[in-house]
Amino acid sequence: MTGRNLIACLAIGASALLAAGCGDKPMVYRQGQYQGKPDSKPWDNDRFKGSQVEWEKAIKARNQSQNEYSRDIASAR
Amino acid sequence: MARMKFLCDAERCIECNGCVTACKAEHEIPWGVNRRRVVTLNDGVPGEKSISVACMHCSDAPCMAVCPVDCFYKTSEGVVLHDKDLCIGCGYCFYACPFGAPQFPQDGAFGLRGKMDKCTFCAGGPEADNSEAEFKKYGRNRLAEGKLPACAEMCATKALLGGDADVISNIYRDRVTKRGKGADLWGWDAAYGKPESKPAAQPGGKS
Repeated sequence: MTGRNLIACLAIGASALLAAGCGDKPMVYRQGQYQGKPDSKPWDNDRFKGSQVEWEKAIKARNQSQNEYSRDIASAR
Repeated sequence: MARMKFLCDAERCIECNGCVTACKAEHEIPWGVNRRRVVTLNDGVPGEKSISVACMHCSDAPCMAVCPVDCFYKTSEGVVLHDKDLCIGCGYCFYACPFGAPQFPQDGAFGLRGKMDKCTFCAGGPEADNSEAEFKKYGRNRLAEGKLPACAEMCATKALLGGDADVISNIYRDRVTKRGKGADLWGWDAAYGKPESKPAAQPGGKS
């Protein structure tokens, strides 16, 4: 293959790649339904290791520390 | 399952703006965007009342209903969040919100309006929890750390309560019983009432 042919092949290949990037993603719109990325649960992480019970316990302790009539600061830490 | 809500006790709010500062600092919010603000009613008049206002994460959120691109979603904990990658910055949510919560950064030329920004109840967004992308777009995700919103936790007088609806309403009930006044709760009905059970407004009638 001569140098000119090689350049032509590369140019054709590059233009094909460029054209492929111009396509628009098809989007199916569902009226009234969330269209975005899914979110994870707040307990699905390294700290709570998927335990909803542990997470709710932590939140409850924090909640109670807002009540100065029965505040337990140690449990919120 | 916890159902997250905000509650502002107007009898206790001293307009210190600690909640506003806590929010701004926690999420590194740019100038011009105020996810939370303190509003004073009858300012300068004896008996003035202040309330801390932000997104209340309504039960039947009007922003969700009017969004033309449906970028809002509600978590299982009742927190109203949105996907900034979908938001087109149209501002419909701002007009629909009874609390004026949606904010639009306007740092571009010709009054360019950016993507909507609002209080996330410190629950981030749909990006991976506590990732850099989530922090950049939505701020810190305290809920995933087992913490409550910074504004409520930083409130010096505990006027602003945030967290599980049952717990915070019990705290408030105790408080009202002990002090014997100030049972009126601003914004609670608007955010967490059930509008479908109320009679529809009559044409020409006064609200």
